[in-house]
Amino acid sequence: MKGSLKSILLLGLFLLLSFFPFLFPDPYLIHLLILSFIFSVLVSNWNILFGYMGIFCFGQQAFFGIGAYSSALLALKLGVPVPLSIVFGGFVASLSSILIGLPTLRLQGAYVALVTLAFAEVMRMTCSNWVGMTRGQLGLTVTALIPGAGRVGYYYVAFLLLLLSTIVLLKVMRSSFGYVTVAIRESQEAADSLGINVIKYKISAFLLSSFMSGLAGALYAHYIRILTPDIMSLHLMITILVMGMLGGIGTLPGPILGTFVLTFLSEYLRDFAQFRFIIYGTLIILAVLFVPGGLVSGLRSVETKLKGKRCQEGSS
Amino acid sequence: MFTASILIQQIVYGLVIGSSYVLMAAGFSLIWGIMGVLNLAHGEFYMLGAYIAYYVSSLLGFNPIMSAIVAMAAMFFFGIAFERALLSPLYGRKGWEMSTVLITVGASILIQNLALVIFGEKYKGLPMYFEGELEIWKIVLSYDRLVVFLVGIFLIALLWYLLKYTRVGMAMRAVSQNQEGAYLTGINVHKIFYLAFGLSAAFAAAGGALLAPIYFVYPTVGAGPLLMAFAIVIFGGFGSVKGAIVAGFLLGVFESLVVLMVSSAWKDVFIFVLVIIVLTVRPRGLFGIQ
Repeated sequence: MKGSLKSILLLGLFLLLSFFPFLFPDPYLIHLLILSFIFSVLVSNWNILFGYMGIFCFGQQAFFGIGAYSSALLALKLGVPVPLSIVFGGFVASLSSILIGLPTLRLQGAYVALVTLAFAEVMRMTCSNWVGMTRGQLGLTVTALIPGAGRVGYYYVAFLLLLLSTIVLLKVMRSSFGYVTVAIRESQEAADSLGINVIKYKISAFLLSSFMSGLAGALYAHYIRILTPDIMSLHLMITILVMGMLGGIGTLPGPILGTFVLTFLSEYLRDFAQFRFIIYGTLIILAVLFVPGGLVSGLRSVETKLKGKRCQEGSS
Repeated sequence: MFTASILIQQIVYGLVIGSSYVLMAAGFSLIWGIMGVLNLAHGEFYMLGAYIAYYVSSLLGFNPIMSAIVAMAAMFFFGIAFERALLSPLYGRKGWEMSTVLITVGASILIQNLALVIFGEKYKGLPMYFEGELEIWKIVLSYDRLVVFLVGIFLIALLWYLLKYTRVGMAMRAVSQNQEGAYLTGINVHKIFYLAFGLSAAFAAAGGALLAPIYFVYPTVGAGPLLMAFAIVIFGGFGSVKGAIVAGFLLGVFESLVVLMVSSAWKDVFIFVLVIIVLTVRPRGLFGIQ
C-alpha cells in the first residue's frame, strides 16, 4: 500500500517535470530547474565517493570544471560538435580522476581531504594562470549546445542527464557493487580481509563519479556560456557539501532533494545574498549537531511515526 | 642569473614567513594528534587573530607585540568556547572524523562570512611600527620582519617548552599517544581537549597578528595559511609538532624560492604538487609515524 503510494508520487513528479516547460512556461522557473538538474547530478555523484565509500573527496569541483573546460575548449578551438564535446569532457574528467584517485588510495581520511582539495586548487590556478589557452580570469565565451538552442532544449537535456545519472546510480548501488562500497566505508580492513579488491572498487567509484560530474560541468558551461576558473573555486565545493548534507549524505534521494531545496531557497534568499554563506555555514553546523541524516532521515522518521500510528490504530 | 645575495635574501624572507607558518601548523597538528580533529576552521583563527591585532593597535595604539599578546589571549578563550559549543556535543558519536570535518567546515564558512559582513572586504593594513632596516653583507631585512621572526621563534620555543616540560603539556602528549591509557591514569581527557584547542587557536592567532603589519588583513586571509598548515603537517607528519617546525621553515623557504625563480602566481601550484607527490610516495608524510 505504502510502496504503491510512493511510486504514484514518483510517477506524478516524473510526469510533472516531463511536461513542465509546457505547463508553466516561466523562463525563470525553468532556469532554476535546469540548475537543479545539473547540480543534482554533481552532488549525487560526489555522494558516491563521500557518502557511500567514505572517501573524503573535497575536490569534486575539479571534475566539474575539467569537464567544462575540456568541452568548451574542444568546441571552441577544434570545432567539435558540442554534444560530442560534452561526452568527451566527461571522459577527460574521468581520466583526471585516475590522476587524483591513485595517490589517495593508500591514504586515510584527513590526507585524502587535503590531496583532493589541493588537486582542485592546482587545477583552478592552472586554468587561471594559463592565459594563452583559457584566457584566465577574463573567461571563455562558450558555444551553445546546438546553434540557437532555447532554454527548453537545455531543460530536456539536463533532465535526461539527471535521469541517466539516477538510473545508473540506482542500478549500481543496488548491485553487489553498492554493498561492497558500503562495506568499504564501514571498515576498509574488514573488506580487505574478506578478499574484496578495495583498490579496484575505489578506482571504479572515482571513474564513474568524475565522468558524471564532468558531463554535468560541460553541460553547465554550454548552458551558462561564460566560463571562468571560478567554476572550480572552493565555493562550489562548499555548495556541494551543503546540498548533500541538507538532503542526507549516503542516501540516493538525499543529494537530489538537498540540491532542489537549496537552489530554490538561495534564489528566494537573493535579497540576502551577502548572508548566503552565513546561512550555509549555520545550516551545516545545525545539520551535524541535530540532524546528521539530513532531510531524508527527517522524512523517514516522520514516515515511521505515521506508520507506527496506523499500526496502533489497526490493532486496537 | 641570481646573485648570491638575492638568493640569501629570499631564503631569509622564507624563514620569516616560515616562523608564522610554524605557529599555524603546530597548533593544527596538535589538535589532530590529541583529538583526531581535522580543524578546517583553523585559518579563521589566524584571520580573527589578525583582526584583533589590527583593531587593538589601531584603536588603542598598542605596539604590535602587545596586540599579538591580546589577540592570543582572546583567541585562547574563543578556541575553548568553540570546542565546548561545537565539538564536545559530538564526543562518542559514530563517525567522529567525518562529523568534525563537516562541522569545522561549517564554522569556517560562518566565521569567514560574518567577518566579511562585520569588517568589510576592504584590505586593512597596519603602518610599519619599527622604521628602518638591518643590513648585513648585502642582505636587507627590515626591523619589522626581524621582530616578527624573533617573536615567532620565541613563541615556538614557548610552545615547545609547554608541551615538553609542563604537567599540562605532558598530559596533552599522553592523550595524544593513548587516550584510554591517559584516562586511566587520571587525566581529565575532556579538559585536555579544550585546553589544547584554546592553545592551538591562540598560536594561530599569533601567526595572524604577527604578520598583520607586513601583509594585509581581510576576511579570507586565513585560507592561504590553512592550506600551508595542511601542507606543512603533511610533510611533518600529522600529530608531530617537531615535524611541523622543521617542515614549516622548509616550506617557507621553498615558497620564497619559487616566488624568486618562477613567479608568485604559481607558488601554490608548486607547493600542492609537491605535497601530492610526497603523499604518493610516503602516505604518512615525510616524518610521519605509522
